[in-house]
Amino acid sequence: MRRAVVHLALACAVLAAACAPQMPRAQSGPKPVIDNVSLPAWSYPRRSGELTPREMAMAKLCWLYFENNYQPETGLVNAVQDYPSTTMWDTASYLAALVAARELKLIDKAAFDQRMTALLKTFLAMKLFRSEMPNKVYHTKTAEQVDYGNKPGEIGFSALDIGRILIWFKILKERYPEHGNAIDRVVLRWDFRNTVDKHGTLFGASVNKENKTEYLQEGRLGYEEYAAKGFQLWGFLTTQASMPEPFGMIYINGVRVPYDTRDPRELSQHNYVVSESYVLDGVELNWDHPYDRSTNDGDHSQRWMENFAHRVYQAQENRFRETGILTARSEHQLDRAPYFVYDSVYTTGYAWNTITDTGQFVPDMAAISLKAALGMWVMWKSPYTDLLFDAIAEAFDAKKGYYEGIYENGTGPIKTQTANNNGIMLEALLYKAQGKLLKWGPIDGGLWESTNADPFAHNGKGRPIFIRRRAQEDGRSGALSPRIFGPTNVERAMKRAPDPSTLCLTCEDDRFREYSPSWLVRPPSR
Amino acid sequence: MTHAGHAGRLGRLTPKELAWAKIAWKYVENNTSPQTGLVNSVDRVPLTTLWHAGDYIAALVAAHQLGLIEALELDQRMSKVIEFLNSMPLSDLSLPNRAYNTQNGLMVNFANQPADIGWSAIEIGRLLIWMKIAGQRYPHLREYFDKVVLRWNFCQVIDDCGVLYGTGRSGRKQQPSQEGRLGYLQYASAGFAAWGFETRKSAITGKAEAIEIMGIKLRFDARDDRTTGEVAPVVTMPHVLMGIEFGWEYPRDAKRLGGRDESEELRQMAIDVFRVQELRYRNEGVLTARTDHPVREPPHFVHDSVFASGYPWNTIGDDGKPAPRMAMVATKAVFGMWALNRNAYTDRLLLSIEALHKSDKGWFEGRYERSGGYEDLATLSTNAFVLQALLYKTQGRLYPRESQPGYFQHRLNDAFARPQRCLPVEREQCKAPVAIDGRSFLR
Repeated sequence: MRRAVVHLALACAVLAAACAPQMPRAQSGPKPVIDNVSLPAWSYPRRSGELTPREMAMAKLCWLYFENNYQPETGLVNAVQDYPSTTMWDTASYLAALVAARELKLIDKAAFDQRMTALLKTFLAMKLFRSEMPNKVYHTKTAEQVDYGNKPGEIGFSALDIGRILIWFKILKERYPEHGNAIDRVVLRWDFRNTVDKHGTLFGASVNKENKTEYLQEGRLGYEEYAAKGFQLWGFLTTQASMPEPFGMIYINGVRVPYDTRDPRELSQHNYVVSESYVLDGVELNWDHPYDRSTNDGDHSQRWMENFAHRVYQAQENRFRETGILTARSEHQLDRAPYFVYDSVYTTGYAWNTITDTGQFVPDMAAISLKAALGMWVMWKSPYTDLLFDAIAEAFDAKKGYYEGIYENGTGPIKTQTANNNGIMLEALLYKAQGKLLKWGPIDGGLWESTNADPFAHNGKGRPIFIRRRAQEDGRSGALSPRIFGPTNVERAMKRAPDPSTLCLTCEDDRFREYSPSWLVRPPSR
Repeated sequence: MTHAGHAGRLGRLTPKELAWAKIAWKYVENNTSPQTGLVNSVDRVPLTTLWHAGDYIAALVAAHQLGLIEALELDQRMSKVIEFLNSMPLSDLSLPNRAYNTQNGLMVNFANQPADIGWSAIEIGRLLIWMKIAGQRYPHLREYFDKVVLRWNFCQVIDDCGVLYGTGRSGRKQQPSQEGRLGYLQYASAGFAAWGFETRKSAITGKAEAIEIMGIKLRFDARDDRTTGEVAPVVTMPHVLMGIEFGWEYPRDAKRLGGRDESEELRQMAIDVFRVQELRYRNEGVLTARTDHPVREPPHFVHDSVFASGYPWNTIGDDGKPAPRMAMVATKAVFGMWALNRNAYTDRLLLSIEALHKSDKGWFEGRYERSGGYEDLATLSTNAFVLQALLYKTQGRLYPRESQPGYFQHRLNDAFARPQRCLPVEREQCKAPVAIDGRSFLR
């Protein structure tokens, strides 16, 4: 449906760089400078505070979508209005909506729990793509694996979609530990061996003409690092996926905007720069490092992510100032052919490029994406985003929820509703009310960590290996203890670990690293 | 070592350099048509364009100035060309066609079949520059160059503010379209400016964006090739030509005061284009001297660019399709960068193409980046430019500064017998603001 990672079945020969074990990405020449030039975006605060009646009305309309498109048989929600199909990405957006609905008191705990239980039950039973990972698409009435035409079919998996749902499983586990057990069991079913390699690069899967599975590096600047955080939150080491490199900077409406320099002509993956990935990273993780437990939302500990996000925002505000075109770009659905576009700030060489998944240029399909607009509205409190809010606030169908977008060419709204759009709008509203959505709960760890800490358990699925900090000596239950001070054997061992500066990114790295107050983690041996 | 308007290498030719010049001149000798006096654009192919007519005049001036030919031969050859230019058939009865057969002087298409296929403002621009330079260097021929220009009709090729239009033929109709992108546009418009036309809209980088490559902020034309159909690559040659012929000083009418001085901007653009190629060699070890050039195999002509259609180091055909195998170290780009930059990198570049010639044929087009093999096609552009670059070494910028009024000015000043061809004094004043600022790149 969406997030179609277009893995055209190109021969591996062409994609040698992507198929072969990933070598460290060499970036030739001086690295682009990430300067801290003060764009106006830096000075706009985020929005926070109780929702106004108008915003609450918006939230209710968004939630309407999830009422209408809920499938009680499976607990899944249609990704697109009335079309019984969904992906992991869209399911993550549904989870976001569910959390927001609960927190904004649109539903009570009984309704929330009933929905969570139904969904997790489906996840615990659903067939996985070749027994590895969730398929790219599932039928929402039967939870069968399907293709993009909603016909039965195992078609592969998307590491980006899985990364996003891992973020949401983590948020749920921390906020609602009563569901932690079931969530951990869902993730324990998955086989990560072909998804995260030893260099910490993410791979998706597709099926080639000979019906063989092909694994291809997945993710480009913005989405790649965002999705990698999902894997990091579950203890995986995503060294290469988490690096912004290789990137370049292009001047767009006077702003240096970062873009992924991997060549879409050779690698069949577009390097689109859009608001969505930066907005999601901001709303869900506050542009922080994944393990950052600080509750100060004014500080964004992943500095480059914050910096890049400001640039992507500023280019859009500047475009409005210079051309008068309200701009909030993201990938989005359409209500007519070609049905889905990458509506970007920049992609495949051009600023303000709107292309289909085959790369066809369709400028008439450019739109204000509602999710992008509301995400920008909450992360940047500015006169421009006030205007964006006014532009989108009434773009809804009172019976179905918010429209996908508003065409830039003036022909009105994109008359289709999606889980992703309404879900992201809800989580943006929740960010205003609560700040960073990943809220660390009182319980540190659970079945996932303890299972993967068991030295006798068979770990054949590429899961990380955990170790509890001096729980045994302490005599208390490690799971509930706060940070215990004083060096442990493990910590002493860590101190003897080689100097980080001598570490090589491409070598297997078996050190234990910080994971949480009571857990350390290292990648699995291969 | 520099002097006014001069950057790069300066001095007498060494014996080796003189030998290089002779090799280049050999191409011209081999390819001069006795019937029309024109020189083939590509070795042994009896076809030429207006751009290459400009190349030929440049080669002729350089050959004489470097002492390869006597004054007698210069006069004979030049007069033959002028005679052709004053009598050639014109496209739409207005301006020179895009191509001519060098044997019978007829307008042809690129398959060398008789046809009127419209004109190119960019190519006319280059010919205008060289008719101006030759006329001023050889005053006894100037009147006849002036007559060539007075024969043309400028009503459609340039507007009152200097926007250039080329035409192409679709069916029986001439289709005009705005022609020229940042780089060649500034160069070609300088040709029109040299004859007194107002060119403020083409002289500066009105619609430019920038991309960062290897830390260099490189300006490129922001007009979208997907909607306009005209590619806008950043290549070396227009910047080199601007440097060698004008010292990056845009030719302007002394009377036309005010306006903004483009020279600093033009010089900086050239420096950026040179520098980014040198950095590519330093950082990646790939010798780089890129420009647009013909190749023997399809697509036969490529824009082998520093940046084009969204990608750095993009090599594309006229249709915008990538042709990465056709990337090469282009002989003419090397000579241009070598003449304008006296440094270790251009020494190294020249060393890499020094052997790319045959004494009975001329200089080859270049060396392929991918294979190291030669593109042994010989063209007038490359050989004429070798001569130009060597002349630059001995004399500095090629465009003379001062100009006495001649036949052209006298005709224009005769208010009772205006030529009625939209020449400079016959035009409306341009109302556009003098300085059309490009975007500020300072942020």
